[in-house]
Formats: sequence, C-alpha cells, structure tokens
Amino acid sequence: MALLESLWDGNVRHNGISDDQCFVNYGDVLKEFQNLDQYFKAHQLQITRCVFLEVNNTVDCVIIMLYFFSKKVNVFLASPNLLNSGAVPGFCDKILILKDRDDSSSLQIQLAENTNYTDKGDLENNSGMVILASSGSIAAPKYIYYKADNLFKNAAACIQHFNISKDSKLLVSVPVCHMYGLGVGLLPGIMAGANVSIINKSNVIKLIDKLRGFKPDISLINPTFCKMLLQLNKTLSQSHTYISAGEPLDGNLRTEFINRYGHLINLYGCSELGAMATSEVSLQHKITFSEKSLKPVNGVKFKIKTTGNSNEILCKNPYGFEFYLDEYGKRMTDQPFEDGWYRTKDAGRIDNSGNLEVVGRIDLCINRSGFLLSLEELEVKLENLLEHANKIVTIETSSKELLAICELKTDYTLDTSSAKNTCLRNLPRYAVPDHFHFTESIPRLYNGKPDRKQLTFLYT
Amino acid sequence: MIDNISKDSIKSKIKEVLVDDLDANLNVGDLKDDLSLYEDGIGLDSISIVNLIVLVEQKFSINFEEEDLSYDLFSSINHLADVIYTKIN
Repeated sequence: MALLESLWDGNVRHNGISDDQCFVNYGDVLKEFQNLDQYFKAHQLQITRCVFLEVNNTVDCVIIMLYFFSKKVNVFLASPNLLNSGAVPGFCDKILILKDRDDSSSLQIQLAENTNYTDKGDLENNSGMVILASSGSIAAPKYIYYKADNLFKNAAACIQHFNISKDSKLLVSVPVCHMYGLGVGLLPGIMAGANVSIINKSNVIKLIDKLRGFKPDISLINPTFCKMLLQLNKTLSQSHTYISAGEPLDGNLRTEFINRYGHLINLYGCSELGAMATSEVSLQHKITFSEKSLKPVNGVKFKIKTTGNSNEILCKNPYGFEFYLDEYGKRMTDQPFEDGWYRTKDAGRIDNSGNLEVVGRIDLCINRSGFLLSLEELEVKLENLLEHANKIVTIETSSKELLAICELKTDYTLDTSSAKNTCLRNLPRYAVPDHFHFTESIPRLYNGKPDRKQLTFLYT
Repeated sequence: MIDNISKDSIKSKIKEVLVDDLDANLNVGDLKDDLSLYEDGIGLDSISIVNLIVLVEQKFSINFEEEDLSYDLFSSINHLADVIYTKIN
C-alpha cells in the first residue's frame, strides 16, 4: 500500500473521492483505516483465506476495498447483489457486510462466515491477492486472480497513458468491481491523488447530473451511454475527454459524439490484463490518427498468431492477472496462455508503428452491454431451457441485436413471448435474445453443423 | 404547442406513453403518481428513460434543457408532470 500512501501527501489530502451522497478526502481515508484497525482488533475479526466483498460504487465500499489492499488481505470483489443470489464462491472464508453509517459516522461492518467455504484451493499462504469475476461467461464460473501489487502497477501505467494528475477530475460511471472501472478509473485516480467521483447504479440521467455538477475532465463511460447521449440529442455545457471500453464507437457515431460532447478515447482491454491499448489520447492527433489504430499502453506488447485464415492477437502485460481460479479456489487447468502470451481470441493486425487494429473475433463471441458473450455457450443453455427446440443458433444482426433461430421438434410449437420469459427467468439480461425466429429446419453444412453464414445472410 | 392542459391530463398522458409507447411491459394499475420511475419504483432502465425523454418531448412539444435532466426529474410521475406543466405554461 506504500504505493498509494506515498501519493497521499500534503498536496492531495484535500482531494478525495465522492459518490452520490458524500465526499471523503484522502486525509480522512487514512483516518478511516485507523478506525478499521481498531474495529478489527476490538472484535477479534480475522480473515484467514479470502473475504467476499460486494462492491457498489460508494465511498464506503471503496474505503473498505483499499483497506483490505493495504493489509494484504485476499479479497474477492463481487458484483452487487451476488450475495442475495447465493453465489458466494467456496474460496471465501468470510463475507463482509457493509451497513449504513450510524450517528457516530463511523463505518459499520459485519463479518460473517461463508457456509459454502471449501478449503481445498490454491489460495493457501498467498496474501495480497485480488480476485475478480470473469465477465460474460454463462458456463462454469471462473475467477481472475491478480496480485494486488500488479493491479497497482497496471493502474500506474494508466496514470501515465491518460495523463492523470492530482489536478484531474475523474468521473467513473461504470462499476468499480470490474477491471475497467477499477483498474482504469478508480485506482489510477486515487493513486494520482485526483478528485474522483463514482456513480452508484449508474444511468444516463445520473451521468448528465454528475457531468453538470462535478465537471470532470475525464469520464469513464460505456458505449451504451455514448449512444444514449447521442439519442438524447442534447448539448452539454462542458466538453471534456471520455474513455469508453467495450464495443468501440466508430465512424459517424464517434465523430458526432466528439463534435457534441468532447474527445472520445476507445479503450481496448480485458479483465485479465487491464487496459491494453487505446485510440489516440491527445486531442492534437485526432485528425491524423486513425480511429481504429490503437496505441499500446506502456509495457504492453502485442503479436499476431496466424493460423490458416485467422490472425489472433496475443498480448503480454507484465502486470496482468496470474491465472483463473475455479469456485473452490483451485487453479483451473484451462488457462488462456500460449508461451506466456495471453490469447485474446480477437483478430487483428499490427502496423509498422507498432499500433494495433482489432478487426473482430476468432471465436463466436459478441459484446453485449460490456459483457463478452459466447454464442456457443448461449446456444447450449438455450437448448436446455427451450425443450421444444431441437437446435438453436444465435446470430448478431447488423443492428447489433441478438436473434435466436430455433429449429422446433416435430409437432411442437413455441412462441416468442414464452421463450423470452423463460430466458428472462434463467439467464442474465445481456444473454437474453432480443428476437426469436421459429423454423422447421435450420440449413446445415455437409458435416451436419448449422450453416451460420447462410443463416446470417438469411436473417440479417 | 399544447395550451391549457391540466396537471391531471399531463399525468394521464405520461401514463399513456409509459404503457403504450415504451417496451417496458407496464400496466396503468402499476403506475402510482408518487412512485419513482427508476428501477427502485416503476422499474425503467436507462434505455427506457432515454426513450421516455424523447417521447415526452414529442408528445408535449417541449424541449428538456441540460439543467432539466436531473435525477429528480423522474423521481415520480407527479414531479415529471410538474416540470412539463411549467414548460408548457
């Protein structure tokens, strides 16, 4: 934690973090750490393996999270509401419950035992680890295992890349339980001693509210918010820099966004490695620098692996994650590395200047609301859920909507409403197809597999 | 331009938009005047809120300015109706 504390010197003690309700300066964050020390000591609270922390975008959550980082306690940063769904992974021995502050204004916490705790993992003897949930997968859960020190070094690279300083005002409208909000927004902002504002349960109205009140010079948003701002067709009084991760906004939409709201940096990254590359950060280069050309973040290296017609991007970030864990804390056998290079499963090319262009995926994955969704995984799930369907193929339409084409079993019927309701009850929202089409037979290739090219041609 | 419209008529029209024009699966019976329009109340997500803004601007021939678009605007149908009423009149 020296990395953080050394930066909270006299010059930045009055800067701090704010949420929808309050502001805490960095000087007071350190005092909160001392209070927590006393609280843990007085209540003899002990975490032996890993603590489950449900992370909302609130100042209190951020303080607790930083406190665990500083104490080198292994912590799993869970998405909000995971506790209610009962999906606490077995590698956590304790669950931290954060309560509303009482009249004394001190942080109120409770440490509960995890009844699902399974002590057969690879966390033993390791400390200072941060575990994130892998986004998007609807198959068996996998967890991303980071060394906290690497997370800080990763964030330091972002400070340099985005020119974040103690004079910056950074708005984070995306969840800080994920690597984008945490590693590109929150941690770099705090480590630079900047003023950081986080939006809890963000929506586009809260975003506009905060843009007006906080007046950031850098905002982290997602592509959906970019599109919503464009749809609203409003002019905002202040222009500044936006960073957007996920499906990049390109072409006319990007130009329109830049003209109306300010510079837009497309970020290429992933939960496993953090920020990997971005479109040009400096406004001065926006005319000459191609929007699709991505400049690597300091320390990140790329190479292309050509196999047949596929050109897969491989990436190396010295401050990336260690490996995937399963829910019991065991190192998974299937890891996404090849000779130490991370397999992105994205297709792309590298130009003479070493800049990267991402051209698509080498597998059947699409980006839905910031989640990488495997269509093959989804099809297996759908075939289990919709038992009247014999075979289901999902495709992304030209308007980026998800269509499920269902080949029905003989003499069975199915309608869109019941299919959609079944999906809504059993799948995360981003995995629910927008449209369903029912057919007696899906065109197939000679080998019996669905002819995806023909289906895409027929239905998009 | 809509003239001489009462707050009650504005509320009815907002409810019509919510039920008929938004793909949000709502019934008039669900729509209490003092209930938040966000996910802690009626349950509109960001996309629905954006669509609602665009539809309300069209139906009432008004334009929300940047300063109108605060979190409070959708804190209830009552509040939204008040803002629309002020803009119309």
